[in-house]
Amino acid sequence: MSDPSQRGPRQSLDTLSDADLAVAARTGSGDACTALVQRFERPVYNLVARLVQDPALAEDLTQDAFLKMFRGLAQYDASLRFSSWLFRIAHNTAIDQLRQRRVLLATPRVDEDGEEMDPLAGLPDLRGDSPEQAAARRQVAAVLDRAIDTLRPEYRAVVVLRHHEDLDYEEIAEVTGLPLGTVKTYLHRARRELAARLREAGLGPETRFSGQP
Amino acid sequence: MAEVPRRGPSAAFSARLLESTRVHWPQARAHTSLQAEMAVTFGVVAGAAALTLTPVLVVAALFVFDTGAAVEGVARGFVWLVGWLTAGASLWEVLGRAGRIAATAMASPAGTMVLIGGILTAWLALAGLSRVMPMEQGDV
Repeated sequence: MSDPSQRGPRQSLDTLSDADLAVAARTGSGDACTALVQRFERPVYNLVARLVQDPALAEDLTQDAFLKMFRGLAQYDASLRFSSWLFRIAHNTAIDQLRQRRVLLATPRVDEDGEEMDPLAGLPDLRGDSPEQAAARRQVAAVLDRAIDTLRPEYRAVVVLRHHEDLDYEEIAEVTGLPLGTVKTYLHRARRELAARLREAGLGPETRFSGQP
Repeated sequence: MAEVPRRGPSAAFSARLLESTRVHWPQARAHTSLQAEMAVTFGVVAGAAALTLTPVLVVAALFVFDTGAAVEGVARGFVWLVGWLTAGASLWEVLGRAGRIAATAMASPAGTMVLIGGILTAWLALAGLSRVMPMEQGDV
């Protein structure tokens, strides 16, 4: 990995990798600190808000997570993925808050193989640029948006990390501190529940959106 | 799933987040490399160890190489002290004599080296502390 402190001053921070930006922030670059906050505030907030489901509390917890991140930045191992490290801090901060509020958390059980399952698998093909397909996609997204909020907190976390942040299973396990098999199980169950919510909303294989044949 | 909307913070959150975390941003320091910190730590530990072990080593060496002279020296010291106190010398006179002996020892090449070692160790310890203290304050 190149040393970001050796780069020219005109080098845009936007082109730096997350890890290089973190290293630059660690050496005291205020611009790098600002860039780190701006790059990750929305993803971190999204994860925390999905978990605690309270916008004001989510902002406070996001702030706590960033404070912890900056305090611990000296201990960050630049060979690891920075986003996973930060998401782990944010996830733990939110889970601690849920525990304080005694929100029921799922008991880890690995009794399913975690096979890939797409909750949208049964729906008609909505890919395309037609206005009807775009409207149908928005309709499905709105149902999924509400459905995700009905999942258990752990399921919400793995769904957001997998589908919003594109983390792979190993990274999700690292962020959540769960065994890999448990992550797969949670994702499988979450997708199954989301598919059920879609069916309950009348969005199943037999659904005909306007403009569909 | 890609079209499921992300949760977004309020409009003022970004500025508030930047402002609230700013006090905890790492500060630029003149020498922040791990090697420099390791060198300072090693110097302090080595200097303190050397100063602590030197008298022990000297006494041990005396006993190893010339046990008779060491025992005789210690005994003569006690005899000298008892003799002075018996003769009616005050504590201040004893301390003054001991101080003059110590000053003579410090003026010798070996004593000067020990003194310089002590000053260097103290300076390194203070330099190391001054680097650590801001981080400690930041954690409070």
